[in-house]
Amino acid sequence: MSLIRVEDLTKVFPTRVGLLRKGLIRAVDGVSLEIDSGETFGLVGESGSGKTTLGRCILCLLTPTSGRVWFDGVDLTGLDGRDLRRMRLRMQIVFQNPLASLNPRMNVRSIVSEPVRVHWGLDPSEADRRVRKLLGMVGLHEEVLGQYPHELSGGQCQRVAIARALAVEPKFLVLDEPTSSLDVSVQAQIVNLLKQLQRDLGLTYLFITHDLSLISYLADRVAVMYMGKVVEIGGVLDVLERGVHPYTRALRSAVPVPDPTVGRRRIPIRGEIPSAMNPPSGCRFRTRCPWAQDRCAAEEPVLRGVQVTQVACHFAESIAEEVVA
Amino acid sequence: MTHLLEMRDLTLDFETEDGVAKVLDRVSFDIAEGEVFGLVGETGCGKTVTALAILRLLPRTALIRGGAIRFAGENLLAKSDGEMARLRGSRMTMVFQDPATSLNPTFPIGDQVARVLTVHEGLDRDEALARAAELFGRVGLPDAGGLLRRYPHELSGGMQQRVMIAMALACRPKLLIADEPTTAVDVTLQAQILDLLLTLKAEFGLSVLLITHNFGIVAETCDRVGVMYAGTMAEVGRTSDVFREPLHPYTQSLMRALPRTGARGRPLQSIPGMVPSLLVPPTGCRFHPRCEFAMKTCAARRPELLEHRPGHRAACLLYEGVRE
Amino acid sequence: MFGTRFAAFYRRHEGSLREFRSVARLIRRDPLALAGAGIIIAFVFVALTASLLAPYPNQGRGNSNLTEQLEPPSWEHPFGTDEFGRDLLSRIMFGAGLALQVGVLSVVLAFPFGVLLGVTAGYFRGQVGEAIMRVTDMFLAFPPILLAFVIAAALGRGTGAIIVAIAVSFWPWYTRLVHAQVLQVRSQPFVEAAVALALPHRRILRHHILPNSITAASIQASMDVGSAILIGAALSWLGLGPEPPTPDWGVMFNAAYRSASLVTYWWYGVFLGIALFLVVLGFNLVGDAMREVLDPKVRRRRIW
Repeated sequence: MSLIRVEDLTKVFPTRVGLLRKGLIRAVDGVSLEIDSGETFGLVGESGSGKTTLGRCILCLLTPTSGRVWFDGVDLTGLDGRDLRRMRLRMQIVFQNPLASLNPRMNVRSIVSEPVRVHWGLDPSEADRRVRKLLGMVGLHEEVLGQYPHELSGGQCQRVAIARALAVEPKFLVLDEPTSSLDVSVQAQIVNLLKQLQRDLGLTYLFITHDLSLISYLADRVAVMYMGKVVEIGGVLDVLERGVHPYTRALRSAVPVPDPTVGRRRIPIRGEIPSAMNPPSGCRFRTRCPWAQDRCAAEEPVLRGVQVTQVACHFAESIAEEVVA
Repeated sequence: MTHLLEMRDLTLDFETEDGVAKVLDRVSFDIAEGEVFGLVGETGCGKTVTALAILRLLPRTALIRGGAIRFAGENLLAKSDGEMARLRGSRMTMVFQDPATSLNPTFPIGDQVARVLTVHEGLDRDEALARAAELFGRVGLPDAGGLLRRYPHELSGGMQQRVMIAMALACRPKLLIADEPTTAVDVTLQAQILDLLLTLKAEFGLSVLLITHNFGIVAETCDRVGVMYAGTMAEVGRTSDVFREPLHPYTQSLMRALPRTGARGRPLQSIPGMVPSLLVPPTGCRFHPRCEFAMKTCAARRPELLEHRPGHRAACLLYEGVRE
Repeated sequence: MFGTRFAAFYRRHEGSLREFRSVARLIRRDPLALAGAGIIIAFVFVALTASLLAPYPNQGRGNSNLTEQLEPPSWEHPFGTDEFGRDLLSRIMFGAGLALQVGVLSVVLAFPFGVLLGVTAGYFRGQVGEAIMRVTDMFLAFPPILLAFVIAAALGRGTGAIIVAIAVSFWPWYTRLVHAQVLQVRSQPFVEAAVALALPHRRILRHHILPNSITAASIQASMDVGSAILIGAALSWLGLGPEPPTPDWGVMFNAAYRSASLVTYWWYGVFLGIALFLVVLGFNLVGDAMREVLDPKVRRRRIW
């Protein structure tokens, strides 16, 4: 039973080139996917892949240029005004920069109690009780209530952000690189907390990150994005260990593994990500792909099932065989 | 055997508004010629300060309380500002984390690299620019000649970082300090830059002090590694040894906190508590309040960095036969 | 009962009170800021107690003393006397209150208006925002003194006219500063979070956008009090202020200029000038101190 369904979502940003010319950036281009209730869905990609934009479109923090998003059977893209606001409470987001995601002029008590007071008009003592309960859920001690964000550590800020998100009792949480700016040991604490909350509250997660090892640890399924398109999608171990798309492979071989005994087999990936305003014709990855051929420039590949994953590549089958051999 | 860089018991304080922060406490390690040494640790452990101390680029609020830093046999702490200025940029150089803010936006990159050569090696402008183009080619920048006239904002992040590396290599230094050189850059680009560093190490016989918080990078690129915690050096040794058998409890906890496929379904090990304030650091071993093996003596006595396995040092009383 | 209400008030404004305390802390440490604050406090004190402290309060208000016209500074008259024999020290003391009134009231009038427009333009953008900013630009195109002069002339004489005129020429500065900050603040994650939490626009504007967008304008406002006093004096000098014998500094300058030779009767202009200079300096120094504390970019970065 899919909680979230994204159909052919496209988000285009107008941008200025130089002084006069205008350009368009197709940050997300025709993406479709489904997220099941209770699962952790991973979204990986590098900068410019569109993963952050996709997350925000699903939450309707950005209005898609075209395409649709269904949440629990409701078409979000059709809603507006009060209906949309009501749906918002069922899905929340945790950001990458914990400090910047908290109002520097509000203390922890105000930050966490605000959504509760605004939406449910609780009187101060009841609101206070809820705040304490929320803080307890995220492992924060009551003494932070009177503190301001700049007085807290990164990990504490992130916990406050999570408590705030949980205050409206959402069913779905978009986690946009929630631990990228945190130290390893703090990341472990936050990740453990997120998993525990998922179990206790029955949450569904969309986990956006560029950290493959984190995804391999956390996610059930994963989609790999490149320049606004999903290039591969499937079960997390299938994609990460047996992934077929050249970009998935290059990504995997590029990520350093904390194990000196593992030899590096670098899949050479040339150059850098092309300009977002002028993406390569056909398959966007072809300019850096060691397997690229003429067909790749002429025809854009679509996602199709190859072995255990869905891949958008014309030569997926031969690549799959090549590496196995 | 003398190493290229020897740091012995470096102790450093910072004067802050709220008091004196004991930022480094008897930090010691060596870097041999032609080796990549990783300095790893979490925020606030002092790894960047250590690098800046080597280059004597610390702010005026920094007070060196003791220790020595020897570079090619000479004590850097005894040198005058003029002597340090001659060393910096030529024999010891540094690459910083964010290339966008490390390059001067108002000068073309060719000029910036050439300036290093004109200042340190006395080349005239044309020769320097020619060498700059050559360096650009060495670091994998396409169309080296054309790039000389470009401004930093016209380049992508990855190219900017390569320019920084070119600038750092211009005078063929013996030691390159790279402070989180790939944190601001994508994973695929990170791989390219790290590969570049290793290639250059082989070609130039360069030693690299690589500062990072990423254990994967350490495992793949570093010959030896030092793990820092709250201003102290907890463990130093060959990368393979430290990963295979981490001695210090902090290193062990960090390794177990890393998310891996193999750990699926189990909670990650997290270290209880928080990094201590350096204004009032814990007595004895700075890690003892968070250590699962802490004994009474750990609060009283500061452990020495001793070689408990061949070529592998750790600062922990567990290995000194202390039982309580 | 009183205690709980105070506690609630304190909790709601705790953030601003803390910043007040850091400004206070900085002022205590920085000698220049200390001097600035001292000057302002001294002037306010003098303005409030002029009737009690001035040596010749009646002359301060305007009574003539024709036996001692234009006397140089002496023990009886430390600042000398004017062309009507009035003690200049007392006149200046009484004038301080007027000067401060002009300075403070004009800023107090301009600030909320300018801030409101700036927030509206920055948050709602689109055509409304564009329209507001274009109007703001138009006002900014005029030199403030000129604009104030035209408006005051149209409104007739008097302190009130001057205050309104200065306010009208100052508000666009606040609008522009606030607008710029709002554009930056609205892209911050905590504002996105507020939207995701389905908080109403009004709430987001009032609690999230506004408090974080007024720092630049506030700093400007604190320094503007000094400028307003200066412009007020200039307008009075030009004849747009209150009528003599009101001890308004600008009016006094005018009288000095017209009825006495400023070189021979040097005390008439010099002490006035020093008073004006000091009060403007005081506000500038305090404004600098506020910038030190409130402007995060100016704060020193720690190398770690």
